Amino acid sequence: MIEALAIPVVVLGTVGGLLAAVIVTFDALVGSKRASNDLVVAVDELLPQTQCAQCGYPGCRPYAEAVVEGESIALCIPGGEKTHEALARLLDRPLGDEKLADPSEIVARIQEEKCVGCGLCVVACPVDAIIGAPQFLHTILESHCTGCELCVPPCPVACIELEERA
Amino acid sequence: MNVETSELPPMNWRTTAPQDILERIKECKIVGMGGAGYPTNLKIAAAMDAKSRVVIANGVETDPGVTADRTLLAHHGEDVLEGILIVGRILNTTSCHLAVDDSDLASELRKCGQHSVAVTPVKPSYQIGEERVLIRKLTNKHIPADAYPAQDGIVVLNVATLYALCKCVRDGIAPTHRMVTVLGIDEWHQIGTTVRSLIPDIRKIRLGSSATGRVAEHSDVLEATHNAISQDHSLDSIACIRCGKCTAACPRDLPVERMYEESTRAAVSPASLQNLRACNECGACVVACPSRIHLLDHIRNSRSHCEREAVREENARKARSRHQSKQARVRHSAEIDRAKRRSRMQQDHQWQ
Repeated sequence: MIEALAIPVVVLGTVGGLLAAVIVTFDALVGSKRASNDLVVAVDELLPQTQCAQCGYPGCRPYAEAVVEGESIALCIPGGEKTHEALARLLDRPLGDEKLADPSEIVARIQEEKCVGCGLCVVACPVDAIIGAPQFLHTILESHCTGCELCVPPCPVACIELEERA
Repeated sequence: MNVETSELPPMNWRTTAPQDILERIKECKIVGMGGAGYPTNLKIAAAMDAKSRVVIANGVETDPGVTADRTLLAHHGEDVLEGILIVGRILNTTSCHLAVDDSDLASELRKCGQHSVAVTPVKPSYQIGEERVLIRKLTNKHIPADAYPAQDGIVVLNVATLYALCKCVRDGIAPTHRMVTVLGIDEWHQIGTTVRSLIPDIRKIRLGSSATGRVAEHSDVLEATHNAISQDHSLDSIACIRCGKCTAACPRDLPVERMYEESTRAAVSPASLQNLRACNECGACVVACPSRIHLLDHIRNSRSHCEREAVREENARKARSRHQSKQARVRHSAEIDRAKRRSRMQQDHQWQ
């Protein structure tokens, strides 16, 4: 009688236990990936989205990924101390001693008399703020410009100047 | 002293078509002189299609120490009453009200002989500046906060507006001056006068009443909407003693004390952003504060700060999506290039 009971109990118990183990490992793998992805999005939300690459990463999202992996949170220059503090609060990390300077909002402007219409700045602009046809005057949409300064080095005639946002 | 130059021919409004009167009002650029500066011709035009139409003249003075409207009514009451009748003629209605805050003044105005205008003394309270409260007191109609009274045919105009309107329609004189309470004295002043020519020491001055006005700057001029130039009492303010009188005074039941505290810490929560937007800047909290703190300044500052932040966040969101679409575009064209190169290499291979 006991043996008749013991066989199904042992068999079902083993199968159930195996399934539970599979589910737990699967969930741990996928779940941790999803959690870190959520964290990357949350960090990305706090960054100023200038896409300036001054942190050493090619944009705000790559920097957010690196921060979640353990990169320093004090690299975002356009975000300044405010972003630094917000990141420290979100990730529960220490702020450190050095404070970041308060950022000034800048925009790039093309000096119209100098522009030769080469279009190199259009390629460099990460946020599609520069428009213009080849060999014609280009211009920067002030409302779209994030002040990342990435358009300045490629310009062959040095016609892009930076100014404070009005 | 009322220096005016006549530019347009006088108009007998009782026999003129309403459209022509409206055209005259538009031509003379009459705007609401109670504070908002909304073009009067548009306000009247918005009410013309409503079923029942009412004209309400607001002569209730709610700001502390401002008496410009009362003085105007006492000296030029007939012109104001005629202004009400002109608007009544445009709207083709006989339902005209004039609200004043003084029963003596009301009986004086009744003697002017315009019997079709109901002159009603209204107890001045802070809410009267909010026209919906006045409408409810006079006509028992409730206007929801997201609707405009003009849509329901109710036109509320300040008495200074109606005086200017009467002058421009009847006499053809566009408004160049307005009655202003300058540090407690009511005078006519030309609109556009620099404030520092009226008061040399501009540091302790507010444009508007001492409660709701804003701090004057060096380049400020007197505008049509300024009913007063007042002393700024907030310079000698002392620390908040947390008495809670500001919160109790708020006609919109906003937690003013907490909003002030948050503004000093520059940390505004989403909930208080709602509160900041709900404030209609009546200034009741400023009058109630025993420490003479100009709470309205703080509320305005933190509201503009919040709005700037919201714009920045919105811009960041847009920049992110533009950046992502640019990256996708670059990737896509790189793939096409690679595919082309590969097919060319294969062709070369076949020829060999």
